[in-house]
Amino acid sequence: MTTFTVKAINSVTGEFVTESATFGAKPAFGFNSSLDGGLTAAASTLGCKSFTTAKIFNSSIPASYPGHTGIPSSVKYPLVTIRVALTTSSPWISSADQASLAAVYKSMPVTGIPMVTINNEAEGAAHGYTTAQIIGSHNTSYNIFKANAPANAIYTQNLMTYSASSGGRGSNFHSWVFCKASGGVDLPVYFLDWYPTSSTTSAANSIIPAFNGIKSLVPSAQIGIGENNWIASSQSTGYAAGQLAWFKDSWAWAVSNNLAYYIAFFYAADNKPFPPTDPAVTAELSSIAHDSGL
Amino acid sequence: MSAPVILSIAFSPANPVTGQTVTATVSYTPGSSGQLFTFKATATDKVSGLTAPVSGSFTVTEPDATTWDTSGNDRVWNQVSDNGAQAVFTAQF
Repeated sequence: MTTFTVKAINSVTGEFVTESATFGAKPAFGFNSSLDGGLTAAASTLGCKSFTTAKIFNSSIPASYPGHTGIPSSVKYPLVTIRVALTTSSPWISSADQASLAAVYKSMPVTGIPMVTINNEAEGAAHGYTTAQIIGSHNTSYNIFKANAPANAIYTQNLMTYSASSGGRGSNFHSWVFCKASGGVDLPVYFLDWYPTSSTTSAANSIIPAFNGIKSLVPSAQIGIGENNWIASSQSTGYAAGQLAWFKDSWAWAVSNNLAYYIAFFYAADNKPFPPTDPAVTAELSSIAHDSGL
Repeated sequence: MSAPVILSIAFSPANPVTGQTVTATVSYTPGSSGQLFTFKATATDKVSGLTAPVSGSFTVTEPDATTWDTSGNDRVWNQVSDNGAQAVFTAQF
């Protein structure tokens, strides 16, 4: 729920009254553009309108945004992530890659809310980067974005909920968030890839540490979900209560906590096929899509 | 003298999704302030010529213009219009 507060002031006497009212704002719902069968078929499977948001992966810097063809025109709020190999010293991105990024940012559409980031989940230990590399490279990338992207475009950072857990970066999570406090700038939106911290950790408990961590650093930022499912690619066991419970609980939490985007991740090669093996999960995704306004 | 009275606040759409523009319509009655007037007259007896003053005061109450403050919200609300009974604001979600 969102609260709107307004003060009405008598322009002659200065006397005033303040009133507030609340209303609901649901997250935009979508999938990764690489899900089995594609986005258009997925909307048909769920019996919903075309998706307005989707996550699009690029394993290298594309020639232009979003880096792939076949993205439905309905996707007005795409989240594009670009993998960039970082250097070992400032400015952390090679000159050639900086030029390539400039071309991508310059090509972002002037309509909708196109979003872009580099190095999805790169704060994770598996990537082998330091905080200096992560924060510094986002600084370099952000400055290139500012100089080249259209006014309606948004620069973001996509982290993992797991990174805020004791098995991830734990109490040092804040050092990996690109924001003013870490030497960068406060971004308007941050994305979290949301998977169970363990097979017995609820959806809420899996996200709360990272959500609170970012909100404590940048209270005004929107939070979006960049990926979501009951089992991460690194896990052998999914959420113990099941995939259906995971999506029911995570959507309810996303709505209650005013998340801006909720992008689910399905990919057969990653043990998360679409449509889901359980028709009840498909029905739940359909319900979520309709609740989001689709 | 009085402050405005806000009667209701309505939103359209009522359940926006991210990316939509939300319109908030605030229905209200303006505040007012009064201006004091004094009426003075002299009554004269036409036969005797004796006079007596008479006076009285009254207040004219008029509605005052309203200004609005939406700062402090978690997003920017822009005023679109105000016709003296409804003020309209929009914000991007």
